[in-house]
Amino acid sequence: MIPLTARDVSFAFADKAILDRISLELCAGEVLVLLGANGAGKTTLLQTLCRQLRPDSGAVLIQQEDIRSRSAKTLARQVALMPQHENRDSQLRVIDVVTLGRAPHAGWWFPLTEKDHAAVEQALAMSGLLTLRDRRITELSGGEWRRMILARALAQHASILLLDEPTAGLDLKYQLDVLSRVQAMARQCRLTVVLSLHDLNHASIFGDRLALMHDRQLLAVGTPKEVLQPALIETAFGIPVTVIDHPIHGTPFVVPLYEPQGEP
Amino acid sequence: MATVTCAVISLGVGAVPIGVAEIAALLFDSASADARSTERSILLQLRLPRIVSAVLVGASLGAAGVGFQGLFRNSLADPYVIGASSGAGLGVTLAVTMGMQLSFLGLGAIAMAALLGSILTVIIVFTIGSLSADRSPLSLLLAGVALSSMINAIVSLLMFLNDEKIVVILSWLMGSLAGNDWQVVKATAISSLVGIVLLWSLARPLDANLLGERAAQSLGLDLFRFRVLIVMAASIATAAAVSSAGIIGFVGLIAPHIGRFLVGPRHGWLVPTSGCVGAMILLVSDAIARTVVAPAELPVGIVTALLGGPFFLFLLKTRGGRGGIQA
Repeated sequence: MIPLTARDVSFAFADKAILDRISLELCAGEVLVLLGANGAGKTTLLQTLCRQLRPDSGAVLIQQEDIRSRSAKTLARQVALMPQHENRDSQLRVIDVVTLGRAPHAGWWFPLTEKDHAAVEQALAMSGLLTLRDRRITELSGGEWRRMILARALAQHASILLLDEPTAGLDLKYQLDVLSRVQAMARQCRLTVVLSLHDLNHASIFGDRLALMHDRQLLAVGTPKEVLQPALIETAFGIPVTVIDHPIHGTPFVVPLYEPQGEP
Repeated sequence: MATVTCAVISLGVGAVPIGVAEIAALLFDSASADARSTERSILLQLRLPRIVSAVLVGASLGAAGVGFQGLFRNSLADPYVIGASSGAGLGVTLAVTMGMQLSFLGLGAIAMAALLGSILTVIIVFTIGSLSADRSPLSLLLAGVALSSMINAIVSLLMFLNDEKIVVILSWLMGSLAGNDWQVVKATAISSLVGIVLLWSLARPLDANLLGERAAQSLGLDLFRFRVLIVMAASIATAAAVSSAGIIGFVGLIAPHIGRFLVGPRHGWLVPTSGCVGAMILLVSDAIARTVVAPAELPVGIVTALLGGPFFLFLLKTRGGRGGIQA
């Protein structure tokens, strides 16, 4: 059964069309990377996939069933979203935030069971957060904070993970740390992952398939080799590029072509 | 525990001082009680209901403050800012000026008017806030501020037009526990407890809401239902407090901050702790109000504001520590 399907999804905000008949199908264990210029609609698409925004037309299906028919709790057992921004100014601890991931299972009123605690411990261990469990979230670095949100999504036991720019604001080491963890989790737990990225070369390495968004629509969907074509990239981003083979991974490697301006 | 200690000590404080040992004797030793029936009557008929009332009002304001601060993720939110208190105040003012004598389900006219005023105001605030483009908690907060000002103006107008009742209304607006007997306790205890317990039961959703709306939604929280429940619960608690003690400032603002300082931001601990802290603040303030100009009394609202203001500034200065001062 196909875990996640978007069928002709259109969405407009204040009369401005943002998504225009977007269709996508995702398999279990697959990492799909959304690419596109700023404002191309990546965040909006992620939000419609988990019903935080309701499409004006079209439908999003999970296991072939329209998500509009699900309760908030049922949906949260199936889809976890890692938003680009979250409030980070409360004094909650890492363990408190990751434990909230159990809310869709334990309910909002009932005490947590042994199973819930075990799921939280496992999520902390998989995200390398066991030593940081009692740290206040205000004291986390950007990379640790992203890992905590990933751990919460894992504790949620959702089979679909939507990550909105999970590497934004992170240095290179943490970018690779987050992306490789996501890839490993997708493989290990057969998760369906949709994430948006700006770095085309990271997308090329970590994405099983890429979806390039432009002008409210999907310009191309396919393997990194199929999508990372100079002509497509130039259309989407408005800059000329050349694409070579990555010296180690053999994946497409995008090199922007630009002339340095002026004398040093 | 600290709240109970405060309550016992408060029992002895007043124009006729009674020691802790004497309180025990009067309450539990029938021979001693018979011999000193005046003191026993002061204790059981005047002070005890007043103290129970102070505990209920303080706890309601403390818990309602946590609810509003958690909902708006803003440490300046309290029953006043959102309009719940002003609405209840308007209800009380109308009941007094119109001389309403109704009663329903054991609630007197004033308690009912406060409850209705509070809930109606919050519903209006909620509707206006929800109509705004972003439906954010900030819009709700601003709608509350605007409506509060309007309501306060209406209350002033009513006072201006009914100058023969100005003393009664003013004593409400200044906040006072004077004259609170078992009748008052009975009339408001249920709504106080319902409000507090409902807020406590919403502890986990309040925790999720601290992370922001998107995160809370992603965790399966039905935001609309959550907001309605919090607003209703906090309004019920506020209305219970206002109908039995008038407008008492600062308790709903400070108690959550002290609670957060003591037990951190998790609402499962924070709601009951702030309730206890609110109760303690009001017990101490009321004891001061009763004694400082004895045999006369100060309105307790003046004491809470006079004590609360500097204390809040001190907290602001030393922000940080466990729980800090943020929401």
